[in-house]
Amino acid sequence: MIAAWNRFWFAPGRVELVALMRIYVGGCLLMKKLGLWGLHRVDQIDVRLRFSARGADAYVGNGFRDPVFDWVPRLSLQEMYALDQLQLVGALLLTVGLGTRVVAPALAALHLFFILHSNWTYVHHNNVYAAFLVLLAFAPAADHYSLDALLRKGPAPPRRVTSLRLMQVLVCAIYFSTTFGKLNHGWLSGRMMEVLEANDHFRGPFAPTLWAMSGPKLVSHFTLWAEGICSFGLCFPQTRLLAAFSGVMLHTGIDMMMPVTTFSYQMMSSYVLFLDPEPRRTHLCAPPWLAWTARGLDWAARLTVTTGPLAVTTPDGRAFTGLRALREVGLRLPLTFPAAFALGLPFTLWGRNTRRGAIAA
Amino acid sequence: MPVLRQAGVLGFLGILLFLIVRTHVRADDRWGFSMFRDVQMVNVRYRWVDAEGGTWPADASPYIRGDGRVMLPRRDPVDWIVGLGAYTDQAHEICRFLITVRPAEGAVACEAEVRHQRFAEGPWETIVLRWPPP
Repeated sequence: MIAAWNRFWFAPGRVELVALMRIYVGGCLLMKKLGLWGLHRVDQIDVRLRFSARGADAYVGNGFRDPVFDWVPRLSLQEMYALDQLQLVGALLLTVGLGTRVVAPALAALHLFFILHSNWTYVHHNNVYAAFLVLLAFAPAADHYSLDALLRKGPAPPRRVTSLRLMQVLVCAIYFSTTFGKLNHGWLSGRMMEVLEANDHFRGPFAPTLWAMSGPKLVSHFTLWAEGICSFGLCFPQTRLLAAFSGVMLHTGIDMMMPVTTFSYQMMSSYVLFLDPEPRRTHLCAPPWLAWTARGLDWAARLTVTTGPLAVTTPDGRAFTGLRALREVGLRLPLTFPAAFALGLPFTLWGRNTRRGAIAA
Repeated sequence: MPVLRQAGVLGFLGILLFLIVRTHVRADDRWGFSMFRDVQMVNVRYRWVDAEGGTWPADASPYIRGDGRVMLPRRDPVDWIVGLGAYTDQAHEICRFLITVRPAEGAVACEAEVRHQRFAEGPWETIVLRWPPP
């Protein structure tokens, strides 16, 4: 038991995924600060520097603050704006991975200060940022894909998987918590969605169509399903794809209908934490055009690509040819996995029948 | 170092468990991931504002339930929502409704004084909303 615990939390391992998460967290924070978010406002987006905390007047100007944190120094709006600019610069440095050992803790401290100073704590995606920034502050997040790694002499030092595991547990806990919190009459009956719709929370050019296609019950129940399966399904290879697919559909839908700033991108990017940490373990042998395409789309470094007749060998030793091989490749590429998953359902059923037949024989 | 590592992991899991339990079990949560669980009590009062800044009470009683919670025109009471964001949205809408549809004589604006209590034992705090905005 203790050995399993230690192996889970402290085994030596690769931390490239933590570095990817650093880029995503920094990138999302940067997008939030630049006002570059929201498919629902796709016709209004203008890229500009937002030198003011979003809703600072509403959050800070009204003096609305948690009494528990009265000891935190009270700043003026101008001082808050200055800190907000500092956070923008910090997000940029975190994304490119420059001075990460200093920047990540400083950014976490600054974010926590914002939360203690105002009622930011009531905005759930700020809490998610806070949790990830605190974990990144202690993680070897600049070992890979960073300017720090480029400037460093020699290879990255050996690491343990602890920081990766902490982030994985955090993502599952967030999904579990939000699913548990929605198990009430409002969500189960669909009334929650009716109220949101009636209060004009659904916005943008896509909302009327999506709302007309789905309605309150379907949206409510799909939300419960997607968040529920993400709370545990991301952990297991058998359900990981279904969970990620459901999560992407949920968060894309939210982003198309509701002003939740970068929350959808934060959660979707966290799925990268559940990828196979050993890169290029799937071997693809393919005609030149397909090999070239696969290399171009293989952003998560899942494939080792050679040219030749089409064949795929997966990390667990299974070999595929033909359409099954194409499906296996499609499942491993970020842009094609939803289609590959949907198109592959008949193959999955056929495969089961074949196995059952073989056993019977 | 091994002890520190174990303590770090256990501390993280402890904090996570604390937040989840506090969010869902305690009635006076403030750490909630759920946006509608941040406020326990809300009470809204409405008043008219004239051109000189004078105020007098506005009768918004058709839109307010007996317990002080907000009920929107044309809509059922949303009694299971206990979030300040939802209440302020609705208070804004009621103000806009009153001043644009049923304004009192001499009124140029409507204000909503939203009193809220975030913890069962905490102090009452107040936010004043105005339509049209000043």
